Amino acid sequence: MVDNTITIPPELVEKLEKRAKESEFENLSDYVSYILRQVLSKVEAEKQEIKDTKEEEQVKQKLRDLGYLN
Amino acid sequence: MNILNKGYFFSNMITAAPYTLSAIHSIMTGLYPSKHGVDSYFNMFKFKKDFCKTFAQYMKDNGYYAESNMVGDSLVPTQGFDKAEVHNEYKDDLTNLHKTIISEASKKKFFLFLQYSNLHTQTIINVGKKYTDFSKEYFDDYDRNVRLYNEHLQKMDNYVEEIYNHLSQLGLLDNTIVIFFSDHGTSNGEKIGEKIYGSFTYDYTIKIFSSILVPGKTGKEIKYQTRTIDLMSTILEILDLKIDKSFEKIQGKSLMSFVDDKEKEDRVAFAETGGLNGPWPSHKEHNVFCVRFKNKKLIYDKTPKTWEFYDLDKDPAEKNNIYDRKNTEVIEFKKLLLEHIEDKGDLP
Repeated sequence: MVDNTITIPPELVEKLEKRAKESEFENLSDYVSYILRQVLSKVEAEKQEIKDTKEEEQVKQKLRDLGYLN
Repeated sequence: MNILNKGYFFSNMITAAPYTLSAIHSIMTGLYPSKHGVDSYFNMFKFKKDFCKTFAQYMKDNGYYAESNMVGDSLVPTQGFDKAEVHNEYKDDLTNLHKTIISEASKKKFFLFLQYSNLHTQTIINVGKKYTDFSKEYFDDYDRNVRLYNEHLQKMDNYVEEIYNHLSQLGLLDNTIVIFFSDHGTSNGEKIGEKIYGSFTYDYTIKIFSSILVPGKTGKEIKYQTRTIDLMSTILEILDLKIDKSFEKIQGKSLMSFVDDKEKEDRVAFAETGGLNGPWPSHKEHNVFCVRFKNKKLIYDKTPKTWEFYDLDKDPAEKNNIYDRKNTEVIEFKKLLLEHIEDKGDLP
């Protein structure tokens, strides 16, 4: 795994460090990664909504293959 | 079965969802469905892969070769697997196929996730395609349904025995953790409205078992209520692997405290589903939820907005709904269940 360095404004780092200490995270990297994952997950979910119509037929076919739909 | 007794045998385990798609995603993440995203049949592509670290990813990150062999390609999150294969449940000989996969994988440090799907196959052939969720002839002959199901259970027992013997012959039992588990149960006609599974959360579909065989450790049955979401944390603890806190917090907890006699109480377990058929089908979101604890169960049927409460010691078949909204226990259970349903995972 490659670790990349990114720049975050100091005042934001201060706030993030405060919140990380108040939660169960052992370090700032874990906390920031967690937040980014959650944001990314929500963005991906929104994109997914658009694809839904196309994918519905795929879902139905997979359920037919498993014998759940006629 | 004797093989199950060779391991830490959790005989009173509750699945997070009574159908494979959602159940397996919960096992592979240690999370309930709303957290991992596969919270309905139609949400099969909505696994939160950027936010949930899978069992296979943990193994891969720790140098294991990871391979799965399932009946469908959407049943298990593929993240972390070097190879995620699908078998043909109608043609493949699963015993020989899985023995071959084990032999090949055993040449390196490996993690295999293998599904015996022939019980599903027979259930679909003998029930799924023959009856509706309301067929009188099916629900009128419970004894015949059980007899037929048990015949196929025997075939599964044979599979388990052959796989176990194969592991033994390869000398793998000395250095390999083996887990046998069921992802959900099935109806044999107990409740009209559910011919197989996935529509309700009664015990015949949510109560399952698992057995974890650990080299050098003596078998032991744990009768306290446990959850399938606890399996991943258990294996991570046995292998002494560190939990990655940059991902969604695992909801399951290691079961080793039961093995070590440090924990002596049932764990609160939730289960949820949304049927493809049944009395209130819900393809795109779960609409039946339950909390099970101390052998009592509260069920919330969201579509008709009804509640059910059962004392499972006195009424294991869940025939006598004793829901009373003023009852102290009902209030306590309702609080637990609503908190679980409404947990949206706010940012910490």
